[in-house]
Amino acid sequence: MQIAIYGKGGIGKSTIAANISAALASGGKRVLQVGCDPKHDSTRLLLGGRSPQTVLDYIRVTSPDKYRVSDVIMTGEFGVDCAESGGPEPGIGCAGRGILTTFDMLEKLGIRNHGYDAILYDVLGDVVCGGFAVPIRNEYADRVYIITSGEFMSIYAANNILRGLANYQTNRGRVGGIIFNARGGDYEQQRVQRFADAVQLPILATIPRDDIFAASERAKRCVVAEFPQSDLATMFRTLAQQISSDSELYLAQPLTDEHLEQRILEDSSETHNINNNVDKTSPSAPATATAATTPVTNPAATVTPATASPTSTTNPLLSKAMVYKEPLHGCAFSGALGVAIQLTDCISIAHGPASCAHIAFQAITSISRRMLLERGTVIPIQTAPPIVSTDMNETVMIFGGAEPLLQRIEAAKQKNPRAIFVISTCPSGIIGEDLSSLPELSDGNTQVIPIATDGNLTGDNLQGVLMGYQLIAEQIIDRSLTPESKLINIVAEKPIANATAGNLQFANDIFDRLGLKLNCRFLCESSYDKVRSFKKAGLNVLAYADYMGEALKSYLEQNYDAVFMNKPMPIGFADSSEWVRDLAEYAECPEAADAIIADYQQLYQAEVARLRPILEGKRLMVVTFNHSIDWILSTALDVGMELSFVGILDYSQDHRFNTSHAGSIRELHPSLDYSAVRRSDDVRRVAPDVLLGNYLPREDMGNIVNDTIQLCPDVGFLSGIKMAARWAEMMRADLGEGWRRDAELYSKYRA
Amino acid sequence: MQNFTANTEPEQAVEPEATAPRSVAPGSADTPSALDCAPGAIATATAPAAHAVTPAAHASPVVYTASTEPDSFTGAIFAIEGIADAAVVLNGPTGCKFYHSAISDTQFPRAVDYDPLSFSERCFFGQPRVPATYLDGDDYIFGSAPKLEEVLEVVDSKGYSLIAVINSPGAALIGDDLDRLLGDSVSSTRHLSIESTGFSGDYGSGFQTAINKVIDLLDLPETEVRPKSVNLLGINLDQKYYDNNYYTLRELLALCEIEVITAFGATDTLDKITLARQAALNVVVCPETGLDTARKLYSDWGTPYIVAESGQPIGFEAIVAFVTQITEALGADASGAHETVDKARARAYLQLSRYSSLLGLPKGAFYSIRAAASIAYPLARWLSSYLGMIPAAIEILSGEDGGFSERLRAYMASLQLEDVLSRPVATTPTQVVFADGDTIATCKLMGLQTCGIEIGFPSLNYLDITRKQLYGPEGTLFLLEQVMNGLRYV
Repeated sequence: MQIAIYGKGGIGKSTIAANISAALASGGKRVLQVGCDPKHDSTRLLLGGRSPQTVLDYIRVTSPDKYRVSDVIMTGEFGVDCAESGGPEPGIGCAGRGILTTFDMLEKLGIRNHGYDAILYDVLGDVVCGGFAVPIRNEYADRVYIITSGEFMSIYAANNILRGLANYQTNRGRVGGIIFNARGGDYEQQRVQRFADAVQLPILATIPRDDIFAASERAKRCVVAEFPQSDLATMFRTLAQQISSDSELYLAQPLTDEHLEQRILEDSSETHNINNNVDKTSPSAPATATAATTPVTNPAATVTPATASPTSTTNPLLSKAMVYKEPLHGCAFSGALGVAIQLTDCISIAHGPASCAHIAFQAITSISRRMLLERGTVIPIQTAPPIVSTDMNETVMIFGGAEPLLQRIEAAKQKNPRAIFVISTCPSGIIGEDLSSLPELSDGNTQVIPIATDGNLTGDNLQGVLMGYQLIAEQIIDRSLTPESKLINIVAEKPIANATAGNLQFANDIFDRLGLKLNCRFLCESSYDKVRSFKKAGLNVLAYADYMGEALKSYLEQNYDAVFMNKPMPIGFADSSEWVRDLAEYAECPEAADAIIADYQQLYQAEVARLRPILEGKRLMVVTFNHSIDWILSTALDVGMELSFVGILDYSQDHRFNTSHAGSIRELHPSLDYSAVRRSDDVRRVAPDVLLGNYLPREDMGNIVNDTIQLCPDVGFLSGIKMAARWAEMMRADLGEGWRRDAELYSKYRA
Repeated sequence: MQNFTANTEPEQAVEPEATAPRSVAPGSADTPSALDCAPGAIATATAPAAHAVTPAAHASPVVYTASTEPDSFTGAIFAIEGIADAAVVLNGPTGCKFYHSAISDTQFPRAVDYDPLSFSERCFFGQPRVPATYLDGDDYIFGSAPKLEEVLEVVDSKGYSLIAVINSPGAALIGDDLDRLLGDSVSSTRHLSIESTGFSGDYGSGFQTAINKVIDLLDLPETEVRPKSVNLLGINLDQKYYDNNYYTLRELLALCEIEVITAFGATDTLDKITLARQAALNVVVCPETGLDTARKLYSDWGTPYIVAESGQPIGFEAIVAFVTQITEALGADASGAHETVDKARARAYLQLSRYSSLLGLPKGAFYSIRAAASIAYPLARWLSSYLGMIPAAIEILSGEDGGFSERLRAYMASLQLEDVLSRPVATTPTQVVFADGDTIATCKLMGLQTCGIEIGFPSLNYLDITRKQLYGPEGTLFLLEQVMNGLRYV
């Protein structure tokens, strides 16, 4: 049972919630109370004045793979477990966003599976924005209780809470009733009663003002623990009994502001009569419904099974930045979108402002535009990626974006895509847009799949890529298929790398010669049915063994029994030879490997012999983001070069540098925290003949041969030797770069 | 060169521009027009086959999305980035930063390399422009103040004349007090903040929100007005050849002895902008990005303004109208500019006469346009009334356009071709497409045999070194050159 206790701040909500929790626990229930208020004092009376580390403070300093539920829970009176959301200081940040984050974290930790009989959320009800409304979403609280006093703002807040509930309401009620916390004002009981009658809810209990509360506060305990024999304690136990006994639930029927103000709060029939005040000495027993007329069925009998979650149902893969709490490069929204659009017969809806879709769209199309310019070719998926934006505007930011989103989904369905992915942005996440029910919009033609990246709230670009892969696998791959040995999948290509098309051609050529056939590119220029058929492949080939590739490989092995080749697609002669041999062995034609390798070996050895006289003894310095560079180091050694300096720069996408040539490298810096000045110093000190990097220094390096290395190099036997050949050509020709002497002219005329 | 990810540590395996294989030759096209005009398209002869083509909706493949437009968030950033010595500090995640830095650096290059090690402070993330607070989930909850203070300290030491903190759409929702943080962190540098640029507003509204903020910040005192002087309003970083367009108008007006004081957000320094109140007239070149500012300056300073009545000065007729309108307003002599236009027309005549005698073109050839209304209108008039070409499809981008959408509609109605305004450019058969690079590429994808002429962004990333422009007589000749080279075999 999950219970949300809502009420305006400062009316004793947390005191009442703590007493209900204590009463439930004293009756033998296992209870968790979660405080959902930035001032994080909901559980103070259950913990003798102590405070658990708030969830939000905890996740600021802890990487996601280290999260432990025990770190944020303390056990208090009667064994009640206590957690506090926490939140920002008043006036800064977004407390509502904090509630969203807390619930997300507790959900990921599987809090619902910890055997609690009751989880009680104590929620600030002054502002029912998307964040503070999380507990009343359908997947959380199955019964909601509203605490109010007779004061105007308190009843106003109570009505607002009902409005929030109504927005999430289906055909079943979830409101348990009103708990009236008397403050002693004139006519407050009548006012609350009028409100309860108007919204057709029972007043379950009337809690009087009583000095016992103050005495308990001083003892830092709740009434149920400090004064267990008191009438108040008895009342709380009775109320707890009622809550836990599956009492009737009601639909939320909020009033209009006009009705609330004119008929409830400013009723002319109010007259000054002290007898109308609540008698503090005789707390009323929890009431039965007096005015409620719309009891509904037990939620346990009507609850619908959970539909596909917008987050993964298995343990989520985590990017390097998330694990190591690094600054985020890019956003998860963009990463997931880049993956989702690879399904050519599906549409991706960017749920956010126009700028989010625009930025992602332009990043995706940038390489295809350049391809058209340079080579006259059109890459379909990256020329017109199937992206639709919901164009969230100011109104949506305030009132929510369900309507335009549903319109976009319906419009997209008219195009008959196999699937519609709905991918959320930061603003969508911050205002608490709920995508969890979208799968219910699926029909026979189109599957609707939400990917709740929430911009970068869930992480960086790589995190989004991993989320995209994981959710698409979970939602689309047909687990019933049987592998066929001749079919191969290629996994984790880089759709926006220059080398991708050529690398695919290389792989297909080898597959052809070995009698194998490509089944699915997971995920690059693929389709719904191709992904669905993923398990038909008997073997999988990883495109890159970087952080992302290895994470995905591990995931697919564990969850889809995918069998992978030991090595990724090969770069350079040595790896290519080994890769082809392994593949040929799998294809049961090892002799074919010899023929393929022989073709290239002759070429390679001839080039080595030709280049060696030029490059032998020459010093190579490498400064790069690439973490897999043995292919070029091997070639350099083959042509007799000296590996003078290898520096690997910190890279947001990878940290798996490894080399089998460490013994041959004079200076090896596997994790280089670098600057342009330090590089220049090192270049002068090392005095390389060849300087290899992803970007090159601007200053004139004299006779040093500068060359760039691609982040995603061309695969195949000859990748390294082609590069070495270029160095040799540049050395032999004694070329000049006269333009470098014009820096002064630039300063004179343009600076 | 336009490569959003070329000059930063890539987000996901994006190839740096510098790492493109050297065996690949640079763009083989002689001009941007030629790149997209492969021989073997619609056969051309003295009686072009195109004359018989009736544009109609194309069927396949399915394209779900047209090229997207930048919104008010981008407009605000580019307004500040268009000021030579100003800097935007983006209070937002890096996902919003990389793109804007790359485009700003491409359009208005101020760094001499792409090397991330040259921009190694964390807030720059290896790029030269748009330092950012790299917000993450925690910052949306607890506020951005610590990171913003850290970034402002770095940026304040760089010697900019103006620092503008602009909230990303997400940051705009959490309501941090940017002005207080700026006041506490930035000492003597002029500064301003934009807490919300609007969500999904049009580009021009964001651009003008930022420009108007700069003007308010400068709080320029009343000053002596220089006769025969103007400010040019609306030219901005999101326009093709915006910088040369600006220089072209300066030169053209100089022929009329009219001085251009400044153009807000179009490469001038803050010092030049502080002279803006000296202008006798504000000229709204592009109403989508300038009309609101003109109204503001009229209200604040009393400076009169005119909106270029024939649209942006593209095509001989619109150029002459542009010059005439300004010279009449200021009592200046337009003859010098008119003579320059006449000489350009003479050059055009020679080539058009020869071309027409051989091919019968360009008359009767189809064209499509996807552009702002203030470009589409003069361009369509020039194409249809000067070159005799037939509109196939025209799409207008969003924004307050000073009535040019309606004027374009009226012009199309006068040609009895109003329905072209409802046809999609990407799927309507045509011979020449004037549009952004995405739209041109999509036309190719859809199998249209067209010549693509870039007049907007995003670009196909052709690296322009020699001077090119759309405005003025040279701009019109440049367009003519592309049409004639592109149409010959289409």
